[in-house]
Amino acid sequence: MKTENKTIAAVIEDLRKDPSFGENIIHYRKIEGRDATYAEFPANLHPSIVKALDTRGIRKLYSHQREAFDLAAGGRSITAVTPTASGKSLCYHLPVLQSILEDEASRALYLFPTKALAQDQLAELHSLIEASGESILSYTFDGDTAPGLRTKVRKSGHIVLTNPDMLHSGILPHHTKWVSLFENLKYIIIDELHTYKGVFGSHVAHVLRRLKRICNYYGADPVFICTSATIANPKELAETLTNTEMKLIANNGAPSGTKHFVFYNPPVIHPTFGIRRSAVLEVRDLGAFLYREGIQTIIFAKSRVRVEMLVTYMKELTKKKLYDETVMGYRGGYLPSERRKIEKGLRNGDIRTVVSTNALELGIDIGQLQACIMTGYPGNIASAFQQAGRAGRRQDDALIIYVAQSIALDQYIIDHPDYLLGQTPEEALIHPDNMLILIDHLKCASFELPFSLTETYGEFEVQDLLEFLESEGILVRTSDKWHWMTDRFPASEISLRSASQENVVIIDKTVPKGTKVIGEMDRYSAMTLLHEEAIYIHQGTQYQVEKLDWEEKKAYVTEVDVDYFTDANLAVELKVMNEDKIEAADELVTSYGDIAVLAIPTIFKKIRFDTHDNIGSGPISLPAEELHTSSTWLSFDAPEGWKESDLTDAMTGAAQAIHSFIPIFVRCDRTDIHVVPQVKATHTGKPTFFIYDSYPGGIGLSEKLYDRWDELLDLAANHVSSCRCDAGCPICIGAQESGVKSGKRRVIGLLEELARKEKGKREIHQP
Amino acid sequence: MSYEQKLMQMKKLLKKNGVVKEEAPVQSKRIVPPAPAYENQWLSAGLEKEQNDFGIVYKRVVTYGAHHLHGSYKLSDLRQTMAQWGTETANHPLCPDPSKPIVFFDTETTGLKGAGTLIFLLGFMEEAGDGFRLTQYVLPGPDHEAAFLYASGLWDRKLSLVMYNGKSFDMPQVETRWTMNRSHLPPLVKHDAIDLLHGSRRIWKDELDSFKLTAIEQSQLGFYRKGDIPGHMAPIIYQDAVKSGNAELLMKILAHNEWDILSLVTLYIRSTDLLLQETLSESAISATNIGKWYADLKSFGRSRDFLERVVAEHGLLHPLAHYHFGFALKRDGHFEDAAKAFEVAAEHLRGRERIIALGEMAKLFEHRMRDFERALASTERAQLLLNKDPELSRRFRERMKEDFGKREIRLLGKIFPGQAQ
Repeated sequence: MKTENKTIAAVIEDLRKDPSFGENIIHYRKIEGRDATYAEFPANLHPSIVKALDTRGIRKLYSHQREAFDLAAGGRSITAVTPTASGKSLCYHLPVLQSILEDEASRALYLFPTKALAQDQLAELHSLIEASGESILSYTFDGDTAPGLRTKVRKSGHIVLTNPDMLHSGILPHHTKWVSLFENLKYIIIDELHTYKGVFGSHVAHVLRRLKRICNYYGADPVFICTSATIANPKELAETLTNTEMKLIANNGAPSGTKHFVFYNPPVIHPTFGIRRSAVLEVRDLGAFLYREGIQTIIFAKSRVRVEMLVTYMKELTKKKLYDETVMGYRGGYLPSERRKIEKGLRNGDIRTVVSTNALELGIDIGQLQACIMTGYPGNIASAFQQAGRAGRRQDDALIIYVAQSIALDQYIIDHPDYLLGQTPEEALIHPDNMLILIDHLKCASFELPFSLTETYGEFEVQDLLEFLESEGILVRTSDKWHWMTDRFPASEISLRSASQENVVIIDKTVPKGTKVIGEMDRYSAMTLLHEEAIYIHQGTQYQVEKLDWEEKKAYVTEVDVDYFTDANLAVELKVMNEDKIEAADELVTSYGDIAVLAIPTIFKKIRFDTHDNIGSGPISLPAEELHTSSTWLSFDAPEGWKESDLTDAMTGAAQAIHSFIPIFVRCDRTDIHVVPQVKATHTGKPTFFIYDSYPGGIGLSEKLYDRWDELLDLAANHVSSCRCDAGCPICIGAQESGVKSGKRRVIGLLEELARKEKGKREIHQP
Repeated sequence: MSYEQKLMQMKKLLKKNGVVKEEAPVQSKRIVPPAPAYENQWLSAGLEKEQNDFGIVYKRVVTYGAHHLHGSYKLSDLRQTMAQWGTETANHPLCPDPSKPIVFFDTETTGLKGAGTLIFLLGFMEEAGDGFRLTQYVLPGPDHEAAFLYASGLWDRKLSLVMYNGKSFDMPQVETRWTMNRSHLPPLVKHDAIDLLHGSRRIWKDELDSFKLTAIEQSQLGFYRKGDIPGHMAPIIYQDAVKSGNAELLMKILAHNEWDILSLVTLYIRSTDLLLQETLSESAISATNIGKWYADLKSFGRSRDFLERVVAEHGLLHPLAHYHFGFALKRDGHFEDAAKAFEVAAEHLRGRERIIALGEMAKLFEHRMRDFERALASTERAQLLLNKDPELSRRFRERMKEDFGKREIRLLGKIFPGQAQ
């Protein structure tokens, strides 16, 4: 049916010639492929492993695999940076299998960020073991493990593959049942290291401290092997995560194919306001173009809503064919069976186009795709690399199309393509010092093994905290230890994944007697996506939320067919609780401390597909959610002669500009941090900008920004003044009322003034 | 101040070691911990102090005369129970190994699961001299666990432990606690476990709504508690006794545990009587359950005896007995009688059993009596029910539809040979 596919180069040529696309291609960059660097097998590599590798046609190793083997076998903990499809799993399989073949009692624990990845890897590991002809027992251990099999896994599994959540609540609190594992644990493998960032990473850092504590109790001192995608600080992240000194393996020996990057900017449709055509619509057209060319493509969109919109659009292409499943969506919130089916379809080529959120950034094996379209900048370079890596696995040419949206950071990248290709991905930050997280895991650790009166926990001196837990009635102090003394099971009260502990279940009641669960969503997202009257889109089908039972955490939906989607607003109130640091000079004060944030969803808007017109709105009545987090804030005296409404507008515009550039400074996702302007803040009584971390207890972002207000203000001021629009646009300060040109001028004035004063203050304080 | 606010205040107290350093292993040389400050209060509440190499433990010992009455049974009836098991040859889960002393055992704990849950009370009852002796060991405080576990003697000789849900709860808890103290204690002996919860579920399935021990006491053992503190309060009461030093309520938990163990003795007597004395008059439901249990244990003769008696005494009133009796008859080669038994079952039962009975009829008619028409009739009836009986699970429905579908084609082929199906 399909003729021989065109080469990627030919497809790019066609794109350039096409009148509706060609003019929008702003830059083209080619990154040449690279040849492999090989190394011989280690001399002592067990003959059965050599045999197993031979059946896969492997007769030598990539240099990084050899380096990993030598270091790990020598007892060094390592972190290997391995891009997609570079044979990373052999970095850990080889030393692990070698240790088990040398000593049958040896054990290894593999940690994957999700259950699905562990199950995926088990299949690969099984085939390797089978080819070796040895009897090495490997099992996954998670919620799906049959009760009858559990004892066998605990007692005789050489290799146990699990996830941090299961380790946290299913293994560590029951360590007495795992004695043979913990006594003989030689290796702990942490795959996809880069995913352990933010709140989740901070939790996992503590799970690993607890794991090490239990290992020590049973007399084991395991070696860590971590593998990571390209990030700026793999060694630092691994060391903070594991509290163990690491040796970094950064030189990758795997070959890579040539990558063609196309930077695409949608055409301007409203010159005065600098508004461009919606990126989603451009992506739809580009996706359709590649679909017709027969190019297997992955489209990344940032939100669930966008994924579903794109799936809806793309399915138009296949409407005339019955049961056609060549276009599929893929995101969190689908049920596991649904996801497995999609992964399989991608691997065997039944699916030609998949639209995904960043769920697919993880190393789930979907085989080879030829092209990748990014709808906007994914928020950080590491993610961008991961998304681009989905196209052209192995040595083939790959096409990556970056489609910019009308927002500051996206346009910055269109103007500075080398920022994206410059090989300087950001740091992944974790913050095990977060007091709420620390205390939660200190409880779990106390439950697992009583602390002695002199013991430390990881790098922390915790005797004062244990005394606090005693005063809360959780621990009892005896002659030599702090003993757990309540009937609670702490691990079940603590979820590693999110700040809010419960998810909202989504129930389809279209057929009254055939209600079924179609997905779930975390509480915070549910406030804006599952409120009553919201349009929830699942696999391209639209549902309207009929009832949201907030107490029971259930959303009841029915199928509808409407031509709009919904978008909701959150209102926030801030209260300063502690002011830890403060620096004042020249009517300008910057502070850092703890705040309480009260978030209330207010209204939602109905927005028409295609035109994206606002066609209606309504209120949302849900209770407020409270968040305690860390924040930095800057307060100043209002410029003389400004009306309050002028100041409000200027601060709103400035806040938008500041927020846009934070990801470049502290290298986080835009959603990890919030910027809130207040004309008269309760705490300072003055105009104040607050920047706060989105997670309870904070994850160290605003603390970093506290020291960099001057640069941040400077960059924001430059960006706004160099923006091509007349009077402010969504790219710089947000869309303004038509005809009012003074708004943009005031924002620039305010930002420049603040940047100048902040620099001056800095010189006083740091001469 | 909210909990979060308190924690934010704590931030100032947090100190860190700059360098990555390993904490020393927790297992160090053991020093015998001192007695808790509240020792006198606990002793005056009615506990005795016992000392061993690992420290101190508290205990309470109660002796009973042989003829002590607990509900409807005397403790001394146990002797006859043991004698009855003594003559048994077949292996039964409730049958004790005569080479090991039989001990009735129950624990109380500070929680439900995990390494942070402690056992604080170990109660043992066994025959002693002319009567019986109950020994309850109480954990003086969480730091005295080694002495407490050592005193139990569970490391010493192999026992037959009679428990209620002990296989899933008490024994794993004991193993966990032993592992936590394994560097000090001699290894735990592997004991036989006789679990009366398991036995009760087999005997009284569909007859009793609740398998809580107190419910069984009332319906089967003639024992009614007065002033009992429910077991789920135990964790809070022990914690309170440790934190406040007041042992008054703790002694009520000891009384609760004592009742549990006394009831274990009489429940063992009652269960054994039902299993081994075929003449005892029990309900049709439990006699059928026992017949089914014996069949599952491959004691087919015993199974048939029980079922035959229910069928004889209760006739059509208890069709489930016919159902199980059908399998017994089939096993013994009485195919026509078996088919009749299944016919009764198919007529009076509902759901899954009805379908299986029809399946058995179809098999017997087809392969044994070679009456294909009747086999086909049973098959068609089953197929009809598979389509409309709402009680059936989807998996069962699909599996059976496939089975009966194949059977139907085969039977039609036998009845109308030569016709294309």
